[in-house]
Amino acid sequence: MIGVEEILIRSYNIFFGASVLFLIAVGLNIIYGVMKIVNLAHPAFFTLGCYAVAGFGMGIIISIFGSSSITPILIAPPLFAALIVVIASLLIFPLFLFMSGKGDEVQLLLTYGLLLIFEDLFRLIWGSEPLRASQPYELAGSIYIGEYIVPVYNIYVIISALTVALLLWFFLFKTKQGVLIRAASMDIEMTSALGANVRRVLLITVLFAAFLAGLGGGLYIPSGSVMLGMSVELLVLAFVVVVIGGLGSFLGSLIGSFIVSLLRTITLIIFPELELALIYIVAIIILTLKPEGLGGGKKW
Amino acid sequence: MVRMPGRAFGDDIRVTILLIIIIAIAYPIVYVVSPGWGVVLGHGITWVIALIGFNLLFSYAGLLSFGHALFLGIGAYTVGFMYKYLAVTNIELHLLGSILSSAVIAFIVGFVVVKYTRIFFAIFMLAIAQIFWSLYYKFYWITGGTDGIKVARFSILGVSLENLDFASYHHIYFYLVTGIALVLVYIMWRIVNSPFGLALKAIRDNETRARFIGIDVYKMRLYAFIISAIYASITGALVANHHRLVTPDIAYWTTSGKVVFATLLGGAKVFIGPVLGSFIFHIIESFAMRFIYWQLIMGLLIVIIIIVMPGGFIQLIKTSIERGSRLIRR
Amino acid sequence: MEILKLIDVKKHFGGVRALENITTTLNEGEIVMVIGPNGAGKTTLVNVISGYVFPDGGKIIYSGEEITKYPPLKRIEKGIVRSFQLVNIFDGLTVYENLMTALFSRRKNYSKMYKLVDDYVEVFNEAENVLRLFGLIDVADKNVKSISYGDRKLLDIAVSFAMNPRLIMLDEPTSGVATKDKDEIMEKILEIIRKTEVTSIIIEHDMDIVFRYSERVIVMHQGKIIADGEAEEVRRSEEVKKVLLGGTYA
Repeated sequence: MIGVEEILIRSYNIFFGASVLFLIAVGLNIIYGVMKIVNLAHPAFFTLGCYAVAGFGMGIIISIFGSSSITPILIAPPLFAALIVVIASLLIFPLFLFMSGKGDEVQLLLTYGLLLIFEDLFRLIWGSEPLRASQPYELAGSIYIGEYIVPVYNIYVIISALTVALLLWFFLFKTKQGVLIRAASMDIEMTSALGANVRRVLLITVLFAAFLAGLGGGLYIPSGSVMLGMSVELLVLAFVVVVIGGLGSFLGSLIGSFIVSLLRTITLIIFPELELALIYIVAIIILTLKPEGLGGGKKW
Repeated sequence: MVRMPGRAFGDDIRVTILLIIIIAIAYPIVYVVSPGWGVVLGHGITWVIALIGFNLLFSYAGLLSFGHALFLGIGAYTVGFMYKYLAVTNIELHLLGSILSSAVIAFIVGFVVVKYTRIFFAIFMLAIAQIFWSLYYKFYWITGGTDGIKVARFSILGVSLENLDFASYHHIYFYLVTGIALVLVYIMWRIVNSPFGLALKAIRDNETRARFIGIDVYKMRLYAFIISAIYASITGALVANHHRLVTPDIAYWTTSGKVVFATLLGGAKVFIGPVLGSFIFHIIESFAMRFIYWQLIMGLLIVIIIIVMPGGFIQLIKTSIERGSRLIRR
Repeated sequence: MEILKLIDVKKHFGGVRALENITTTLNEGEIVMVIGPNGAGKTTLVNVISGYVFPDGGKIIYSGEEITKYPPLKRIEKGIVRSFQLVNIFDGLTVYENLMTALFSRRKNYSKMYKLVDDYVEVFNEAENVLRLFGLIDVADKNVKSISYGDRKLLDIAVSFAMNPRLIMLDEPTSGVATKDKDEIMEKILEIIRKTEVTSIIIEHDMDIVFRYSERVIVMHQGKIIADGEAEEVRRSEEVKKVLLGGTYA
């Protein structure tokens, strides 16, 4: 019989995975939703966030705050990562401008090229070995639930992701700027006719998405490691999230992340080798039954 | 009577065949000067087949796939398994096996994925290719994992090539593949200029309208998908024999990138583009391999090509010819 | 002889009632023009008959057969062909290639891979004839993107005709064309329709064109048919006048 504790542990894993996926998927959805740009390299922002922290960020943070002050060590890395990624996105912003309004093909090819560039840049700068930055994780310690040890850090990640989701929801649905962005996602021409500067909307969107991805990376890295090939693996997962949740849908990002994380956890227990295959089979079933995704997005 | 418009030189089969024949003639000379470059030409001719197949899907059917490595891998591993478990070295059986395996898998995968287009198709193919890659990687007791499967020299018409020196062996390989490539290129040209090809182009241009003049869009795309898969798989089988080692790398997403890049490089919009692209790509790769951040260069070049020269090398040649003829006219 | 019968056809899109209680009959060879303000349901009517969308209620009977739930492909095989309001042709192909595509499709030859397009001489000849009929023979070799808008519209219609329709539905065939060319295009279309004796439904917005060329006119408003008859009587109807003058149209 599965005890309450075991369910708690599993759920906790699921929520953790979902939190990470959410932070990636929501950025992808925002860029697509608002600017109709599909950015295959978006997960590379997440990976960049991880590398930024594990590569040099953590060292800097520790030398400033010392290695035992828990609050800065928890908060600084994600913010640092987000900053680096935002800067990177600014550097490649001209590419986004170029892609805006162009056909899918151009965007897919160009961002695919970006993905290749990012991957090799990571190798160039940080080498081929996996990197870690586990200080925050260790510092946060763990608690006991029954006979299980639960790392506190991951709870922090879940809470952070929830906070981000809530703030995002509030922004998108309750503020004037947010409503404007949602309107833009439905009809960019109309919105520009209403006076919004499309260029500025694009910039804000890109920065925002980059910020979220970087934040996600900075949050994630203490709990694991970053290595080459991660961007594509994440892309493949983020894509399923978006398929299940619906492209361009905020709610879909939440639902999709949760379901994918759930599926991953289940299949990792039963059939670890077929993990990805099973997830995709489920995705196809959902796609066949509800093409707009469970959250309601664009039809494929 | 309206005259049937002639084809631009890029779409003329004679020009394409001429190109391949010129390279085939140059090959022995190149090989004598530098065997390394001879092998590069061998890569070039091998990949022509996969690229032509990819372009059927990309430029004629309008479906961009980031997972073409999937079928390259299937072709390669079919050969690997045939050798490892059945001790088969006959190239004819290798090719037949890879055609069959890819046709079956293409039918199954295509059945699901061909309903969707554009973004979904592109990424979904990437995902499926990654799934297969991870299977090759994880089931190492079957596939040899990252060590891969070593393959002996292939035999032709039952005749073993084991005792030849490397040069002769490679010459036989090169001309065999050239022959196969010529046949497959010609077949593809016929396909592309048949009513089927026309229907594909119509679907690419306007799916709804194609449907509303009675074309079964789904079926046509599925056919194109399967044909393209078979072509890729043949190249995979040939690569397995060329390198004599089958590893998961051939199924990795960067291989798909190579396919896309080489096609764009040559010029996707004309028939001869991928053929040209295959050779130019492998020549560049040969130089750039010494600079180990080859992926970075490839990525940068993709971005640059998309922005500046979407028609690839062929576009470059065309504009140079135009400028040249304008200069001459002065 | 009756060719098309619509019985109480309904179509809703969310809260919008695009079609309500549409009941009407068409006889073979009739030429019907459908008019009405924007949003009246004209295009939805064509969509429902062609199978682009399925109705939420009611029946569509074609040549005695109920086709309400048939997919578009099946209806095309039965000779129901439509064109679209915005020019909807194959941009990457030449004029004659556009036509050949339709011809191959009609002959169910489009999946053939083993002969070159060049080898199908009879298809090419037929394409030539159609192009000549529509006055497009001079631009046959040109890529569709480079010909005039009027020619593109004509090509769109030519492609529909190449499907050998028994019932053809044209959605605003003269829209977007310069006023001086509208008459030419309409006359050409009607000439071909009369020659081929195909039943036609033509959605039209230009009132001059409608009242000059039509035989039977159906007026739609807010998803309903409010008038149906000869151009003259329809024109005199008070209700119609109110709707057409009071309503908005482009």
